[in-house]
Amino acid sequence: MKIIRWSFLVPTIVIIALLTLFNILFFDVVLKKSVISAGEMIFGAKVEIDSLTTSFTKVSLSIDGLRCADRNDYFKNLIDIDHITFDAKFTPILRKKFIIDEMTVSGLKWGTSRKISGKLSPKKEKKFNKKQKKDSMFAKLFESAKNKANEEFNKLPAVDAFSDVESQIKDFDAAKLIDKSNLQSVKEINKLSEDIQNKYKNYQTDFDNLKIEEKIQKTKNLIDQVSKTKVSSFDDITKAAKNIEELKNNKKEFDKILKELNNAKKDIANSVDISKQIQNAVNKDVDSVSSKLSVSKLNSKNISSMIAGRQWINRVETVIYYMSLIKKYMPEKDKEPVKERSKGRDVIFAQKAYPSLLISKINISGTAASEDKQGKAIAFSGSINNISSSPDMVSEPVTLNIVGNNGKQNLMIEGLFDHRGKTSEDLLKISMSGVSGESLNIPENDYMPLVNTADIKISSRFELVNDNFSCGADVSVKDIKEKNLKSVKGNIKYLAEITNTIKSFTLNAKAKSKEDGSLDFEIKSDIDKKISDAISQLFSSKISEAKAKVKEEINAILKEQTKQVEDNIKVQQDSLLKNINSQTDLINNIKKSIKY
Amino acid sequence: MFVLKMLKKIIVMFQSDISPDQIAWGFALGAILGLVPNLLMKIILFVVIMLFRVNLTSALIGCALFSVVGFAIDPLLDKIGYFILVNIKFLKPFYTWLYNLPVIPFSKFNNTVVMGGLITGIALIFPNGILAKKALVYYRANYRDKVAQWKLIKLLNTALNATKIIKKIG
Repeated sequence: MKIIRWSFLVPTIVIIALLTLFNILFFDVVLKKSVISAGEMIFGAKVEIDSLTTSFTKVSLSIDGLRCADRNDYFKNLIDIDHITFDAKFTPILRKKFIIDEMTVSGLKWGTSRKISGKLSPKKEKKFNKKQKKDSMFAKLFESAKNKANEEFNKLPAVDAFSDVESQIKDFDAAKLIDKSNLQSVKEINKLSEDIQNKYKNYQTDFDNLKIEEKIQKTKNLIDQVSKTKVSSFDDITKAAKNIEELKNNKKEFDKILKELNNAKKDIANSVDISKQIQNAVNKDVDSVSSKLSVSKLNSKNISSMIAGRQWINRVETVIYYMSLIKKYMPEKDKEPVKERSKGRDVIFAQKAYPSLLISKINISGTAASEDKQGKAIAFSGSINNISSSPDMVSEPVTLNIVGNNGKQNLMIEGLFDHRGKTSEDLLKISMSGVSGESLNIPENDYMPLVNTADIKISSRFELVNDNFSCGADVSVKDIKEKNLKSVKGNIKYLAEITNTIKSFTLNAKAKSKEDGSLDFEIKSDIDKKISDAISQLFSSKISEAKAKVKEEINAILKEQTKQVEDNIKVQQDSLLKNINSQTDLINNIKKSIKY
Repeated sequence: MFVLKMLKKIIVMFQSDISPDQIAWGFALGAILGLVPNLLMKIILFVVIMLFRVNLTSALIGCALFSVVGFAIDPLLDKIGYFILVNIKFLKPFYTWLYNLPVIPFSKFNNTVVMGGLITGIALIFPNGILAKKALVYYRANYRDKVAQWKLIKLLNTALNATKIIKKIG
């Protein structure tokens, strides 16, 4: 009996040979399509490759002209790489493990322009959107960042506040603004008048209670009695001595009354200067009325937000997106050593463990698209180390170090992506100095400083610890050029003049994820204070003029009322003083009569 | 149509003079195929079956039958596999070596049910082969002629012939 089934063996060998031949001839084409397709599903935009060649003998791959479009701007490339080459280890590939010791990426650029749109076809776009997990924490952060941008920055700029102030000062009528019945000073006059009248009444009552005339009459009688006394007995002497003692006491009492009358006289004479006493109330009235034309203060957040808010949110959005990609393709936790399955158990034997993908080192070199004023791009170089699909199997975290400069500009990028163990920590630091303001794409307008002409230094830090995202950036803007204000017309010119005086400012931006999955943004800058100070200076003289008008008007109102009150008080005062004087004279006369 | 063809092939296998050895070894190898749950292992075993001149119909019968048996005795296969993989200490270096070879780990030989199924299947090759051969020889000697007279068999033959004629006319 023939053992081997040749009718199966021969066709099988032929088919395998044909498949191998097909792979040798067309493998590169198939792989190129696969890489493009996978890239498009990761980045959500078109990916193009000029050529892709593989070598089975060397197990190497070489890619020329890799361009990945930017999902946020389809006419720009997110990355544009001239050449990528690497050798992989053969045996791990047979175990579906892709191990690369060293990879070279040269001619890396970003933000380069595209001639054709990088938008995916509707079919691929639909597939990409389906792939995105809408309910993930990062999707929430994305939504939050976008909503915040619309909420904060689609408002009109704060120029309206200047228009308000200008029209208020121009059409200002103090008389219309003053409500007499609500003036504090008028109320104060009435109160003072009432107080003085009460005081006079009290004095009058006190004088009546003193019964001065009665006492004078009594003293007169006593004097008569003493003068007519004839001493004939010892009793007469005793009686005369007693009367003289009483006269002495009366004299003392009259001295006391005179003192009281003098004090009262001084007090009454001094208490009628109402206009002096109501001065504080008048000042308060002036302030109160003037406040109706107060400068609507610019929301200090608005200015820095107008300058950098949208750019900051866009950058945060981009970083969140790429950090989410890192998190997605570098899971925190690797497989358990023994895994229970529905059918049986996997027994794990000691082996040289390889992750599915390991790239020990990628050497990167290229040019940054951000060009300085002379058009010289920043040449940079650096490396990414320990990229792995199973970080737990690699002893080191992923690190990124890129340094570049073109003589004037410096660029430094440092990254640490540690997904070993059950937690993950991603840290990205980007520092740039000598950057042209143009690279920030801050829109130019009449009321903002010409940031596009400035020299900028940026230091930013992005951190993702598990699902908690936080980031911050310190921006120093200096050497801002003055702009030509001839064409600026209307109320906006006030703000334009102010911002034109600003030559430098600093800006600090922060963003942090909250527990509900939304993003909390904060932007601080000393430009707010600089502009506020300049505004105060500009309007302070005009506001002072208006205040003077208010004061004049209030004084005119008070003058008549004060005169009426003062006249009224004067009459009462004169009457009271006359009374005091007559009483004083009577007392003095009677005192003279007392010769003891 | 496929069912009819399969039925015919089975009947032919039993009723014709095809070598009982081919049928018996086909059945024995098919049994291993049925007991092993891993796809790669199944492909390797299928290629082995295809390489040797064994009866494919009997291999398919063996595979189908022992798939059901394997499903029922999964816990037992798990225990056998665990014993072989873990308790036989001197084989550990061999498994470790296998585990570090390219491609081989894809066969999931380190899974207890896969290993249990494979070993059980290999252990049952000779008993299965011998028993299948004896059973077939006994059947052909005692029942083949009687079964050939069954109306069902005649009907099946008629149906298949009619289908062929219809196909030719069509």
